[in-house]
Amino acid sequence: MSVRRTFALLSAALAIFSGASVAHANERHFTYTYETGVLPPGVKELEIWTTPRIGKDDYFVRFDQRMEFEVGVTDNLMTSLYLNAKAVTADVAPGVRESTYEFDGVSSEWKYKLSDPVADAIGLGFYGEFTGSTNEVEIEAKILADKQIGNLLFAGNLVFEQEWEFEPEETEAEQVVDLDFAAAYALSPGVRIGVEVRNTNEIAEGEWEHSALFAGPVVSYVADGWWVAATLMPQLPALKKSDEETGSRVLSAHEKLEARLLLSFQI
Amino acid sequence: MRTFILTATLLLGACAGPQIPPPTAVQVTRAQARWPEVTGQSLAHGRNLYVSRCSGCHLLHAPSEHTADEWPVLVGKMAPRAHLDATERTLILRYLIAVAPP
Repeated sequence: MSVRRTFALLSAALAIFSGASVAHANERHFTYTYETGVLPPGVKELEIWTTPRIGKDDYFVRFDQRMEFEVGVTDNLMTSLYLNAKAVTADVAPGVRESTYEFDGVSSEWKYKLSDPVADAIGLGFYGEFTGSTNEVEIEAKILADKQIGNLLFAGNLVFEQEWEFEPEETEAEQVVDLDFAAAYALSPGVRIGVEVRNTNEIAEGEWEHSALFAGPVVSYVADGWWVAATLMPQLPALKKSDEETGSRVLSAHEKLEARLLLSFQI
Repeated sequence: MRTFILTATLLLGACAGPQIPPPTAVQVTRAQARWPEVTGQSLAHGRNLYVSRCSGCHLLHAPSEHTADEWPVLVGKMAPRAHLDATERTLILRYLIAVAPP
C-alpha cells in the first residue's frame, strides 16, 4: 500500500472518529488504570475484557477473558459482577505443547466515588473486588485518583491484593502491591491517546519477591452508548527480580507482553 | 520538596473550581429574568446534580464549552440514558444555561 493511500485511510478514520460527540456510557480511557467515575443509579453496562499475555522463556500464550455486568447503585456507588475464563497454550516439556481452557471463577466489584476529576481539585475513589474460583480466593482494594486538566487526563491507582491458593498440602498466601499510572490526551471529544505504566510487586511469606514494570501506549474511542479502549504493555527490565530469573525481566510470574482490549455497551 | 507540594497544590487548586463554577449573583439574576422561580439555591442544586449524575457516563464538560442554545439539545439527548427525571433535567439545564455564555 502506498504512503499516500495509507495516509488517506488514516485521515478518513480520524475524520470518522472525530465526528463523535460526548459519550453516553461509563467511559474508561485506560485499561489497567481505573478512573473514579461511577454509573448513575439504575444505569447498566456490559463490559467485555480480553487480555492476551504472551511470551516466557518457552512458548507461552494465555488469554484472560472477563465478562462484566455493571450497574449504578447510588450517585456515588456502583457494583458489578464478572465471569472469568482463561485459555493457555504453553510448552510444558521439551517438544510437548499443551492447551487448556478453564472457567476462572466469579468476581464482585464495588466502586465508591468521593470526588470528581473535573469539578473538584482531584477525583478520588475507593474500589474493592472479591474473586472466588475452584482453587483460589482473592481480595483486591484500590485507591483511585484522577484529574483532567484541559485536554489531558491523568489517573493513578494504588492496589493491594491478597490471594489464597488452595494446594493439596497447604494453602499458599500471597500479597501483591501495584502502582498504576496513566495519562492521555484528547485528540477529539471521542478519541484519546496516551500511555499506561504498571509496577507490580509480589510478596510471599513476608518476602518481597519481585517488582515487574510494564509500560505502553493506550488508545480509547467513545461513542453513543459504547466505548472501546486498548493498551499494549511490553514488560520492561524489572526493578527487582529473584535469582531464579535468567534475564532482566520477571518471567516466572509475568509475560514478555501484555495487552488488553475493553469493549463496553450500555444496556 | 515544600516548593513542589506548594506548586502542585496551587496547580490543582487553579484547575478545581472554575471548570464547573457555582452560579454567581449576576447569573442568578439573569436566570430569574427567564424563570422567575429560580433561586441561587436551585441553581446550586442543578450544579450538584450535573456533577453527580452526568459524570457517571462521561468526563464533565464545562458549561462554557457550549452556548445557552446548545445545552437544551445536549441535555435532552443525554437525559434518558442517565435516567434523569423531568425535575432533575430542568434543574441541570437551568444551571448550565445560566452559567453558559449567551
